[in-house]
Amino acid sequence: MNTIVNNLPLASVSLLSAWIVAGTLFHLPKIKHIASRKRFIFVLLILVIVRYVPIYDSMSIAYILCGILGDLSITSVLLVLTFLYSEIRENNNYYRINNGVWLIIFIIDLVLCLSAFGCIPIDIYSFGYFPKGLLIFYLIMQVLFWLLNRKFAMFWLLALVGYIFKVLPSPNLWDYLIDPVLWLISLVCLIIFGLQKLINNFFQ
Amino acid sequence: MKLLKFFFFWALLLILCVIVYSRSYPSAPEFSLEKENTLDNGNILFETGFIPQPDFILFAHSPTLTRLSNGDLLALWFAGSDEGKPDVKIWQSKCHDGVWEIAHPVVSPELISKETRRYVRKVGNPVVYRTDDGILHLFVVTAIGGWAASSLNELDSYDEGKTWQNARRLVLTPFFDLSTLCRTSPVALKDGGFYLPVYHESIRDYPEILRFDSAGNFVNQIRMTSHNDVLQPSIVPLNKQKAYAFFRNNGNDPKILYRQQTNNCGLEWGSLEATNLTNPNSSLVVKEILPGKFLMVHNPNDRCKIALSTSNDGINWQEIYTLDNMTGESFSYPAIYVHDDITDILYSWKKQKIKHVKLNLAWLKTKGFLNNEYNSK
Repeated sequence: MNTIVNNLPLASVSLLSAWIVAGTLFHLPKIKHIASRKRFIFVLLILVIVRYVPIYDSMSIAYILCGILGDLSITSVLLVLTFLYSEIRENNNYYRINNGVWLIIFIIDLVLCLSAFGCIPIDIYSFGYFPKGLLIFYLIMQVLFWLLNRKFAMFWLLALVGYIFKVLPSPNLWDYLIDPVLWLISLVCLIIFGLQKLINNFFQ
Repeated sequence: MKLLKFFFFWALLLILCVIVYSRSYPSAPEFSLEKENTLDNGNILFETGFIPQPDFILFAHSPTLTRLSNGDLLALWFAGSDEGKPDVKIWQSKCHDGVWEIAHPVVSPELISKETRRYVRKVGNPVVYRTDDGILHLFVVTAIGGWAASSLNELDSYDEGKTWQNARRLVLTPFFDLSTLCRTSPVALKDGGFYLPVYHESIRDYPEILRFDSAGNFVNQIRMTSHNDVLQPSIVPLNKQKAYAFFRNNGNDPKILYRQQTNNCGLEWGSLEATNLTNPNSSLVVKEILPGKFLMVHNPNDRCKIALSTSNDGINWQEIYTLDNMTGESFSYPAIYVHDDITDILYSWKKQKIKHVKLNLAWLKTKGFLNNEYNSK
């Protein structure tokens, strides 16, 4: 278990980096039609470079990103794995997550961060240490996720499994469920959705 | 098939929730009180000196100290060419039979980067604590950019400070784990664990305490107040459940020095009460030298002067002695350790060296420490 705890943060940011690079490059006109097998090899190559190739002061990109981003939640790791798989298989179905899910994630993490900054007097983050009360909120959210997007409900279930087995350094349940990277992804998705709605309305 | 998936998912989810729900939580904490000090009516002791360090050290700040099992004092601070520079490391010295050894570096940004597997550019504000099993726990603030974007790390020493290892990042906030710092000394709990006072410094500043178990593992954090601009709490246990906390004030003038009280060992804290002192946005420490007699090391008006003040109630204070006073200079960030009737004080002297002051109860008595009447505010 110590091996997982020690290596999961680096592996997570490596996957995130690989997804960002692959997600950008695989949509370029000259590259978008390469075969899945070549895409897989390319992603592996990015993972190795990000994780092991030193770029500054004998540290790799993953080390530097870990220092900036901290630990990704289990939800983020699973989401990024799904997106990466989608890029390799050229199957956008895996990207399809209901905008209601993004809205919920956006609001939850916004409130959590505002509380952490002291802008809200209640320390919501501390509920994650002894999460008896938080479990009720978690179950309510799971009902919503089950109705909106069952894949995301499964991510949150696996995040709870991760919490039970303590695969992350944090003892706080919130850190397994959500993180600022997930919030950023939700923000981008909501913006894209909003823009699409605007464009559609404009051209109708 | 759909029904099967539905049943399987919700059955598994409920089982997992029951597992989490039925986990045992740590027992209610109690403060562990230090041995009562006895008033020594013998020799008066007051000594000062500097901890020796290499000449190339131009900046030294934020000392912390503890006592080892053999009675030696162990001091750590951060030092280098200037605050925030990459060459700044955590430096350490031991005091054996009243003589400080020349300081040497023990923890660097590179060491923490390597062991935590995260990039760290600078280190600062060390806090050391010795648990009952003799293991030393060192807390170090690390950052990539400014101190508002810093994180807290913990290291252990199993050989009385000779080596530091097992560096690990403490995850304390949901926003990229940023902006939690430490400064003041931990307080012991009866179960062998301890509270580490910390503070959050970003959009709003507020103090917290982190609870650790007897093995030095992080358990949970408690926000002391949501009042903005109070930070770096110095906690003084009075009995098993009651304690006072005193704060640095980073707010607008007048920068009142606040006291706060807990009656259930830090689980909940009352509202802030104004003392008769102000605080010029500088760190302070308070200790209960005798039952009902408090000693504070602080900057009364600005960092050009550092002084000792005493109180019977934590609200009304009287300054009794000036440790250092020089216009245009900085004497700040004190640390204090009390053992038997000896009080050891360290502080940053002009941000260049660490000054050590050693005094005893007999000396404090000559300065009016046992006077019963202080001017009320």
